[in-house]
Amino acid sequence: MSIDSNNDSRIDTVLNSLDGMQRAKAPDFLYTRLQGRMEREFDQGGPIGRWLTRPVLALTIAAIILIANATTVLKMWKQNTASSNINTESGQVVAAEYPAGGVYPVYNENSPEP
Amino acid sequence: MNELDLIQQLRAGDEGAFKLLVANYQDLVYNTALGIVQNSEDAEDVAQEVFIQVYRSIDQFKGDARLSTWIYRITTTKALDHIRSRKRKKRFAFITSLFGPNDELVHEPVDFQHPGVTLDRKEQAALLFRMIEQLPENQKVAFTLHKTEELSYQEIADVMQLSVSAVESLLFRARQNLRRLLEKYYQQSNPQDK
Repeated sequence: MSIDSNNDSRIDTVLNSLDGMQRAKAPDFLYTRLQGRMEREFDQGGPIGRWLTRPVLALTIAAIILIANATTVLKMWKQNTASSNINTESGQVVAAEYPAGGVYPVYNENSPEP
Repeated sequence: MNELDLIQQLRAGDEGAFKLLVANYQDLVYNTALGIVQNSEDAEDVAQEVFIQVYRSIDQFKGDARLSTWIYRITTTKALDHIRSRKRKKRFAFITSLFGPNDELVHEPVDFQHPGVTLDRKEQAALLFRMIEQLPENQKVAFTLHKTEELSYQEIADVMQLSVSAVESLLFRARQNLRRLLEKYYQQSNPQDK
């Protein structure tokens, strides 16, 4: 017998190996376990309820909230830094107008009367 | 109780009718699911999902097909969904393993042994199931229904909502693909045969 025909015969045996097989029996107490699962699923509000309570979803939502918070804090900090710069600048303008020596250019008491 | 009465009582929410439905169809559902998912725990999981689906959507059953045909359809759909979900989990586990040690082990299943196969054919049947796993989904479903549930071409056509000639073509291609896969397997296991 040639190698090819030997392989063909082996392949045919494998292809026919499920012929006349028996049907597998469902495991015992399938109905009891099914009842338990149905009670759990219906208590949780079905697939939507289960989907909403998935750890992956909860972690994703928590991460989104954390990122949103961090962004807001960062924005607020940047705004504060910018406004403190403006305050410093306006302080310098005031200081220039009113120098520490006490000589104000607006009212010079020593200047002679016209 | 005939099929029509059973359906009517199921629609009325009768728990006894549901229990009877499970008792009547549990082997059909389990065996079909087992043939497709090739794992007893997964097959039980699928069987439970099928009966929950039947319970939820019995109102949508129009009665234009037999109840068993409708249940076969739900079973094959749920079994294929289960396989897709298993593949997704496997891919995810592989990706997470790239970023560090992964404690969650992904077990490569050993050869599936169907409990209905006779002892003298166990080895060949296990090899055939390994090859069936590599078939495209529709060929896998048609071949499994034909072999494990011994459904006729017409019954498979009703379940898969195809024409009989389409089922014939699917089964022909499934056999061709299986033959090719087995040839490759034997060539790799006995390289001197080339």
